[in-house]
Amino acid sequence: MSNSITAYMFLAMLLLSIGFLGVISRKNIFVIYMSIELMLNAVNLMFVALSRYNDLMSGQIIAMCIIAVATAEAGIFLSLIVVLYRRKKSLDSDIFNTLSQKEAL
Amino acid sequence: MGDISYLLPLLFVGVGAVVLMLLSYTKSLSISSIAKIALGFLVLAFISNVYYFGELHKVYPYENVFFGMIVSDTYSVYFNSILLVGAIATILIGWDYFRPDRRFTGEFFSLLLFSTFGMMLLVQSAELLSAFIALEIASLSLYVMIGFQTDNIRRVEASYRYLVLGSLSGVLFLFGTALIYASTKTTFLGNIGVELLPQTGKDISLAIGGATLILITFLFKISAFPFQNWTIDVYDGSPLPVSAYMASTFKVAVFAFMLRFVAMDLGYIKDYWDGLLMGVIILTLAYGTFLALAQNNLKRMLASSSIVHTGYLLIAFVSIDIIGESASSSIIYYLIAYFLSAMGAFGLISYISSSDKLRLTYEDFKGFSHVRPYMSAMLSIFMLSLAGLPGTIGFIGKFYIFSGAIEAGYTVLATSAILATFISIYYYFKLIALMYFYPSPILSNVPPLKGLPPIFIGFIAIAVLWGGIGNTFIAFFPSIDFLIDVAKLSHRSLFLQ
Amino acid sequence: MNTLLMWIVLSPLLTSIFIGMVYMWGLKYHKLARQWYIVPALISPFVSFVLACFVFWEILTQNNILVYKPYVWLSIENVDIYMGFLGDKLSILMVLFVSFVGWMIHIYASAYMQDDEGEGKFFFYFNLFLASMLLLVLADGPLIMFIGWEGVGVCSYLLIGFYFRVSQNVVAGNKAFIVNRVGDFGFVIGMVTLFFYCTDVGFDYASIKQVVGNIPSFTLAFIGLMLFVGAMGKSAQIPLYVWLPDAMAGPTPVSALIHAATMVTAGVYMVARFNFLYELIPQVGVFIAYVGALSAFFAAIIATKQTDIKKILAYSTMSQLGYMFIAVGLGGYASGVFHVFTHAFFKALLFMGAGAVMTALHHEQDIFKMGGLRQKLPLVHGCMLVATLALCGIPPFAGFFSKDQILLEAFASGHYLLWSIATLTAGLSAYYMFRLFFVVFEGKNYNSSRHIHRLSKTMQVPIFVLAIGSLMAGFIGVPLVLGGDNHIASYLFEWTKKSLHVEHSIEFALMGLSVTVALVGVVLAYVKFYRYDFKKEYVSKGIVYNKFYVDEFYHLLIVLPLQSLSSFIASRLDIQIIDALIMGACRGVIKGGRFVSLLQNANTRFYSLLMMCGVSVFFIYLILVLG
Repeated sequence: MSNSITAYMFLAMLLLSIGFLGVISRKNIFVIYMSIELMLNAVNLMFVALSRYNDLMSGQIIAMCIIAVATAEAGIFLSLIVVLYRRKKSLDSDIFNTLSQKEAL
Repeated sequence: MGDISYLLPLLFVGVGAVVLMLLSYTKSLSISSIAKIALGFLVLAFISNVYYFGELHKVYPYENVFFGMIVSDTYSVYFNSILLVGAIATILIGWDYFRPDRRFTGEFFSLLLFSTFGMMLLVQSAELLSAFIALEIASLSLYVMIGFQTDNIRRVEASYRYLVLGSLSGVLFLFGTALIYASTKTTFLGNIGVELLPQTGKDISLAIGGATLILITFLFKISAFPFQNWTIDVYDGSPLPVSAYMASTFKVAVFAFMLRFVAMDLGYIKDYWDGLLMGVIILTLAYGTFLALAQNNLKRMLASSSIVHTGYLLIAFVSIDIIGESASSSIIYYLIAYFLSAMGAFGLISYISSSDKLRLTYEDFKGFSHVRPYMSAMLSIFMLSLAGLPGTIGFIGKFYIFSGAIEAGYTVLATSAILATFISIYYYFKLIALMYFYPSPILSNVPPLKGLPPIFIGFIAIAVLWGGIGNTFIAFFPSIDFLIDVAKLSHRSLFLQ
Repeated sequence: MNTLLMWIVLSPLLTSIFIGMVYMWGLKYHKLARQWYIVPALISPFVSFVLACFVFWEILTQNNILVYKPYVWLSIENVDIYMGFLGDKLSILMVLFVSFVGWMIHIYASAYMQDDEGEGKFFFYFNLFLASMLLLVLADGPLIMFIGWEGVGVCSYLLIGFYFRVSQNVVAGNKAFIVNRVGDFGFVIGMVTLFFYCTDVGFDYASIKQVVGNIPSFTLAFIGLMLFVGAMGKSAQIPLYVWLPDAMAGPTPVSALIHAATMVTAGVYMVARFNFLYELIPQVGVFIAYVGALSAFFAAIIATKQTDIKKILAYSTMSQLGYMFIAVGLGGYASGVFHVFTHAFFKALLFMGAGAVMTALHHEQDIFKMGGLRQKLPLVHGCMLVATLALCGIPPFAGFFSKDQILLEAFASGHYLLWSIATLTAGLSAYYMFRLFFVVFEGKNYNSSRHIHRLSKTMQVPIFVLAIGSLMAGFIGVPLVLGGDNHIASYLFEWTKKSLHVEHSIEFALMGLSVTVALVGVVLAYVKFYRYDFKKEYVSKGIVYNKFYVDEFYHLLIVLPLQSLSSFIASRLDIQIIDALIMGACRGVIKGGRFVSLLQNANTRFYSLLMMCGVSVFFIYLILVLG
């Protein structure tokens, strides 16, 4: 049993790291958003696994709540993507740099 | 009155947010009447909150419903008052700024109330998940508020940057919660601390990792090094009243939660962070100072200086387990000091720029005192307070923090903070010098002192001076001693059973 | 009844705020009729006086001490310092004549300042001054007293420099302020040292009285000396007297109110207030008495050669203050306060008379350009005569009784040197005062054709009232040998010197001697200056006329070295070393700013990368710490 929870934990951490790296390395805003969702789901996985392992229901409830919050975040993210695309006709994260110090000076 | 009375402030704000959202759908109400309704709800919440102000108590309202996830104590009442004043101040300051021709609509006020609701919930939450939800409610509404003027690419970009980085930090918070959950099988503040006691003999390294992740989220939200990069962009990109709102209130709410968490559960873990936080503080101070020096734009300068102020606050934060109550009350006091000064400075600049021509760089303020002497005086007061000159509330706040740090033995931190203060005089006084020592004003359509916002900003200026005089020179008037006493009381209320 | 104490102070304070606002309003919008500030300005000291009378009556009949502590002003550790008012016999006596003389001078000033454009401002300062002075007197602890102490300092600065268009006056104001700061510095040091011993009991006089016995005598002497340094500054004693003569630059009512009747007596009052402290350190008291005697003598000598009417009076003030310090230094607080009391009447009167003369002669101040005013200004002449006689100590005028008591105390306590200096000074005082009097009023007037400005009634009434005061004030302290009851001594019983036995015959002899010396002075003045020949130019030179070159000496000793030091610092240290360092540091900092702004490239992914680095560093650190 203890082996299995370690495996779940490792999987969750792996997913989380992949998500983090995705935010850093991918240029497309959509993919960045997907990476963040991936991270959230990694945490969900962890909660569910822990909940099952400890025979507690609280972890599962937490996972449900996280999914709800993630949905709200998705709404904002998607609408923002639309707005961003309207402005620059592109989804490349790197071109949105009007606020850099160079431009401000 | 039963448990409901402890939840009334939250209820008023939450219900107000929903009502405003429904009202703004009708489109028949003008934006100023919606602002009035929002103000009404906030004032109601404030009154119901002030009812318990300064009274030592700790209540878990409706425990059979919330299972102790929400708490109401002296501490939360204190912080809720600050937050509510912040929200009220934002509406009053932005009275002329939020106009339909700027694409502000009624929903904006609904979002403002939602965000305030989230922050208040954050202050009141006694559990990590509810804290996360509260944090997300506050942040999500704030993202939208920042990007509300969708025709302006700067706004949208700021919103985007904050959204991505904020979500990242939110995930880190959750991950930290998960690690703590794995280690202690609970997410309730108070219970976590019991599980982490050294007597239990458990290996708590997992929980330390989790707590560190939560600390990172906290550092991100208060913009400490190395999680500070978003600050200047987001503040610069947001509408000015929103910057004021963010700078003054969000920090307060996040600090409130972190203080509660540290005081209740992490007393033992905190020692591991000592060296880490020292490095963070020095780098935060250095980074903020250098960045502020390089700025030419007032808004960006204020944003960078807010990073420096975070550094000051963190100094009190590290000394908290050595000098306890006085450190936490000095944090609270400094938060009020910064809240007032930043709110005043941002508010005044937003008022000045509320006509269409933006006056935002240093150069624009050349000879400003000849056109608008009173505004210059108020702006000078805020700058003096931010720089921490005696006679203003900023000085007293800094004084408490520095003396506390020296008392707790963090002389290095105190020295670097004093050095940062010393340099900060350059960028604050530059504005004063430009306003007063240049003869020819760059004339443009600065709005005259008229209407609600200047009166309110004037009140803030008086409060800044009042806090700085620091005693009851006039009889029977509550002084800052009173605020500090209540701050100490609220710190004590954290440990009530 | 206790709250009245607060209202005594609040009445002029609120009025001054009101006047200030009215004046500002008048400047901003349209000018208001002068009644707007004259009427409240005249009412407020009267209100204070009436309230003080009530309190006085209460204290006299009930024989108790009134204390009123409305609220905690400062809370330091476990000491609560109250905004406290203390009405006992000493303070209420001071309040009585301060408010009364102040009221008279307000009335006088309302005529004197009639045509001045800054009248509103003047009365704003004047009432503020009165409030500060009353606070100083009524304070129940040194800290509250210090508020009033500094308040009168500020007001005196503002009022000396009132005619600020003449740069000389501004310099005089600065001088007064700076010299007073030197004294205040001492006062603060004394107060702080005292506070160290009071951290358990509180910081009002009653609490200090309890602990003062536990303080080691050396420290106590230090405290006493330091407090006296403050008194030196405020009461213009050697060596901090230099500001007082220059302070005559202000309008004459200011000189009358501040530099004669009230503010300068603050030092004497302070020493009397701390009598319980000074009683334990008699050596310091003797030192104080010698400083007082020297100041008295020194000032009297300088006064004999001055030509400016106000400066003569200023030096005479300093000389009389010296007498008071002799008294309080030797432990005769009651006699010191008695002299403060009588002095307030006749000195205010003298200044008012001088002001009247100057008004009549269109602001002429040189006494040798006046002359023969007896016929022109009969009332002023009479009143000035009364005041002069009072100052010279000719019986039965007020000064005689109080001065005599001081001389008696000096003699009785065995300090014969002090006594002889004081007696000699009495002669000198008589000489210079009658010199002034004869020259101004009796000398042949060669400018009889000159137009004399008519004096208004409002100016004459207070002069007359104070003349009566100067005539009568002494009778409350008629000594026992002359068949009086010496009310003042029995009233201020706590402050009288104990164990004072002198044979009645000796007492009579001393009295006779001092009167004789004074008469000799008068006669000398008569011989030399009665019917003074105005055709002869008065030669004003010599070491005495130049005030013993003390100002120049100070200039050489203190001001010049400081100036050269600061110019050295400015030219060498500042520019070549400090500036260079700072500018270098600035360049470094700005470079740092440039580097830092490279990190602010507004790239979301880059920011996330930094965050990730931060998280990694945090965890590497944790791994290192946890092992």
